[in-house]
Amino acid sequence: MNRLPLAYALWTLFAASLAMCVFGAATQLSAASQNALITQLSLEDSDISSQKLAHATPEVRLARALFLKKHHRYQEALATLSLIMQQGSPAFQATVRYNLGNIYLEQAIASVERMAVNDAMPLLILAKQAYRQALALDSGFWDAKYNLEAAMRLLPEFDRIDPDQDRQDPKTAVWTSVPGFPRGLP
Amino acid sequence: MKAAVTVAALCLLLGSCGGKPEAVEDFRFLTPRPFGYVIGDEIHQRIELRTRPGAVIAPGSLPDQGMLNRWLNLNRVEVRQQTAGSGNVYRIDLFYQAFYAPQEVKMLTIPGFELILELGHAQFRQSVPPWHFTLSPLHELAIRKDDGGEYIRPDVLPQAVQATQLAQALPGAIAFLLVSVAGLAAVYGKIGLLPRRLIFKSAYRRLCRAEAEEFAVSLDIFHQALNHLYQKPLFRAGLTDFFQRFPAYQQLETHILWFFDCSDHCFFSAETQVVSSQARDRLKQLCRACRAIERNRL
Repeated sequence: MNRLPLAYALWTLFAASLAMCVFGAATQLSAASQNALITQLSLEDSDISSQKLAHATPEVRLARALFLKKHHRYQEALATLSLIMQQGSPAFQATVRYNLGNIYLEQAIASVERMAVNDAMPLLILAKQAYRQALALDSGFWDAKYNLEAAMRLLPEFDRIDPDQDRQDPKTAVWTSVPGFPRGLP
Repeated sequence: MKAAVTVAALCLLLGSCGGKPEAVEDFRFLTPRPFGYVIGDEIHQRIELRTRPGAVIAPGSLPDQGMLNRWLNLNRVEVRQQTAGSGNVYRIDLFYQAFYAPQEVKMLTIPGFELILELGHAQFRQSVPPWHFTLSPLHELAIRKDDGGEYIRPDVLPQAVQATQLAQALPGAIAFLLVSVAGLAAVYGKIGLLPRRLIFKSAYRRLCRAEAEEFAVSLDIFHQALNHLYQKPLFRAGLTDFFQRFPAYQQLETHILWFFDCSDHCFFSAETQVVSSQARDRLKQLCRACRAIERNRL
């Protein structure tokens, strides 16, 4: 009779812990299946079905965007990244924006190399914007710093840093507005 | 008198023009190292300000968050105000981020601004000076694509999906589940926490210790011992089965029946119980007799 409260407490503990076990196991299984999809996309280089994609986490979608980029399906990759840009933690959002910047920058470099400067300029602007957003979310993102600097070397910006610079030779500004890395030094 | 009024008017005029930062008792501008920055670095400046009683910072005098110029962002402005004595102490944290891509080490300047303090209808200005620092490039001047040089850093792969915190608590949940199952099994007599040879020994000890407590406690102790032996709750109706499974206890049938009468009377009777010392002694004797049976001495 005195054991009735104890029995109630034990039944409550049993029910709560059983529910936690079921939910925890389901979550673990879900995480494992999502990680298998990431492995499939990034290491096995194999696409996933649209049915699996419908229930995929942002991490899986990011892996798919990189898969699409690898296969030169840039527009699909950009659409996928745009879809997950606002999702996940700030660090994840920074990663998404960084990868977005990489797509634009690589396309811009390809355009510069085939001398299609007009095509490169808007891509560089978008790349710089994406890298700046990534760095605003994570100022310690070294790869984003490196690539932003590369993009800014390709297409410098011309705000005057101090009044002395107003007296610079205007020819310099014209020269640096053409996208391209400075080359030819030892 | 006329001269004194003129001087006072001049003072008021000077004050309202903001000529002297009379509202400020103490001003400190704390800045980090002025070198070693690269593109995208965040720079944290702090202003510590102690004002005279009644003086407050005008809300619009702090720089706005966002792009200050093409290469400088003000990401956050955090203002903390504390009352100290009759004045205020302000701590203003400014988080700038530089997006300049220099080709060599370059000195840049975070622009200064003026803090406006309001004291009544008068306004006072406290200037925050511009701050100079150097920014270094990450790339060499001529970016090489050959010889292992990198145009750009590669894509960042997504990290593995982490299970939620609840899922990470799965081992703990399993442990609680096992504990609750074991506890329930013990309560319902499915498992014995004591070897069968020690059930009534333990119960007898507890009975001796429970003499000062209510008789119901003693009855419960003995009932638990019977349940434990029977491995499920034992009631009067189950006694036949009990004696079939444990024939050695058949010799105590009368006493066990007395125990059940006593228990029913104690727990379910509406009458007030007066427990005699003989009843306690008889219950102890019954328990001792059971202990002797479990020791094969009876």
